[in-house]
Amino acid sequence: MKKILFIFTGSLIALLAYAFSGNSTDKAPQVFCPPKDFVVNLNIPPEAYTDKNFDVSDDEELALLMFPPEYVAESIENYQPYLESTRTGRLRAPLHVNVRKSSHFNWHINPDHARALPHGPDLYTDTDEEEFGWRVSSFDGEQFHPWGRCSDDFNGSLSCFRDLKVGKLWLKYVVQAENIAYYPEIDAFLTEHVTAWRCDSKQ
Amino acid sequence: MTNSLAISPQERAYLAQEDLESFWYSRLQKKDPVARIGYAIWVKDVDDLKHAITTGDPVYWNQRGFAYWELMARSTVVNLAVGLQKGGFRGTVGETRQQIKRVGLRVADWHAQYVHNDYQDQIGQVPGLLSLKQMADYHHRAFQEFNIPPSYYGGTWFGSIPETIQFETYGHLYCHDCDSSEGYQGVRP
Repeated sequence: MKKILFIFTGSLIALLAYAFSGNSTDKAPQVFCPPKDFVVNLNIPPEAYTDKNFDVSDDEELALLMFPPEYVAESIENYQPYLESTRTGRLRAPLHVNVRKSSHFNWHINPDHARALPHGPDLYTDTDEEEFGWRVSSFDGEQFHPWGRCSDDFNGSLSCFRDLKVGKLWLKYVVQAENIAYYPEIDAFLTEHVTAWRCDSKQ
Repeated sequence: MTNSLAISPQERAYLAQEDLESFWYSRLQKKDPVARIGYAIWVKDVDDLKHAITTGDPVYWNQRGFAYWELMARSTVVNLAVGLQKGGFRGTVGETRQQIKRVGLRVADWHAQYVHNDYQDQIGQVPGLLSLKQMADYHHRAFQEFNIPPSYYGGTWFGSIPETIQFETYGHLYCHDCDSSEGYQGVRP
């Protein structure tokens, strides 16, 4: 039984790899060529597709990347690769990055209601404190720029989904409260890697 | 879908209280598809699971009965135990149960955050309803936090079907209303 499932799973991974390659029927050129060691293959079980209770997936995502926490900490001084929590114990803090062709940004915060987030430099929200999630913008001294979303992490702190534009690509990564202060360094780290992994930069 | 799939204040409270059974039961009432396995794993009284399935919408339960969902829940727990061990975790049965609960909390945390973002950003066709890919995505995040290899998600619904020997070793970790490890001699890999 396991062998059959292994074959099914292998076929699925091959299909996903084909899909992520950009080599679809529209003959679109492949734009993003990350090293396979950093690419996460989602093992969605084949039988799951018989279940019609789930929503449809969009086709905007090019890849899901994972940078091990130790690797990130080597490059970013003060990045905390492990997080301690009384609720869930010690957690690793890798950088998972969704690489997409578009973002879901469709909002701007109201400057009149903006208040600073305590965890990060120059980050502001206009969402009520009691809400589960808050839309967050950065402030460059003159105007606000959409930054991402943060929400309660059920442990007295927060975690954030950061949306970052690199060239024509949109990156979405999660950063926990302990590392939010270093988001400019994380942005630079990801920009450097993703730019180097453009297919045309390898030719 | 008659109910909003948004994460309610009550569901947030359940997560803060680490009450996974109530969280997933609340999601079950909203026909959140992930709640079927979530509730099957964390329900304390197995009769409650039977009742939910036999009185529920067969389409929502994917035309599968109690035996199927109970096996999926049992497989998931065994799979998690093996995955934790592969990731370096060592512990008694009580410690392993506690660690599985922590993984379950993180999976539920991520689920809530993904549902919230999906709802706010109107992703897909139904706001708050996740796709298979979104579900796989956040399970990978939660597994990575505990160093569980990514391969432990996939194969069946939530993990490759464990070997018979693994069922024998870890099968007792899945039990309803049991939080005592009295008399247990420890997990021997």
